[in-house]
Amino acid sequence: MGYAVALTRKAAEEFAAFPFDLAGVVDAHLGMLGDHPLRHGRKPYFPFRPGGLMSEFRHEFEDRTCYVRVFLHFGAGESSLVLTGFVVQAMGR
Amino acid sequence: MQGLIEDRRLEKMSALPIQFGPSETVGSTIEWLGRLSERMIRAALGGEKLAYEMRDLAASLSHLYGLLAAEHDAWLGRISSEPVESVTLAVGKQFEEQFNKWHAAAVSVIESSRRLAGEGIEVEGVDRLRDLAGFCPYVGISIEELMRRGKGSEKDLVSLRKVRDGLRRRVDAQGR
Repeated sequence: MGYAVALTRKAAEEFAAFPFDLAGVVDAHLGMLGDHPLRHGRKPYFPFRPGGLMSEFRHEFEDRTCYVRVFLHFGAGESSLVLTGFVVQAMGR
Repeated sequence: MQGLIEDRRLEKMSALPIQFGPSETVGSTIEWLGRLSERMIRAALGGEKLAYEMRDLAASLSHLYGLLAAEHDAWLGRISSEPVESVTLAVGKQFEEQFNKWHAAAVSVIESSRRLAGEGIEVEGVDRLRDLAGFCPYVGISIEELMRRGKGSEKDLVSLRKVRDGLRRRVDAQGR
């Protein structure tokens, strides 16, 4: 992994509350973000707070589609990434 | 002469405070489509007839999302030089309300289409509508909460490794 990834306490609590299947998918995405944050991230747009990066993806499960937004920024020294939160919407398929 | 009038109108417009919000036309069309989708569902139409109506509704709602997003972008363009905290919340709340009304109408169409899919009837255009609804801003979360997002304290960070360990323990506990 290119960057050490850390989560704020609040983001870690949000992650811990995800259902297993979604947690696995988000975990894999966080791994990709750690390797290539700029490839998988973009500048946040309003109504999200400016600064840092936002990464969006969707994942199709058998019974639903999850739409996930991850908020992050580079940590001190630009050698780590700090995840500050998630916004998740699930829609039945 | 015409050009002069236009120039003066533009001058007046540029002097206006930033208060552009969702237009009445888009707002009233969203409400109308919402009522229409509810009526369609209540009418208990079945099969191909309902699929036909849902296809039209999905197309109209997708188009309307584009219009609302364009108005939202136009407003953002005007406020982009301002810090987020100074954004007029009243206008943001109008967008929040319209996006939520749009989302409610979209979800009713998506759910009807899902029922139809159970009968083996696919509704054209509903996948695109689902993606728009999935990433629709302001849904289930207020503008105030969204603006606070990302402000989490960084004094107390948890490494991804620890988070993964927690996930592994949950999986193990579940398997036991």
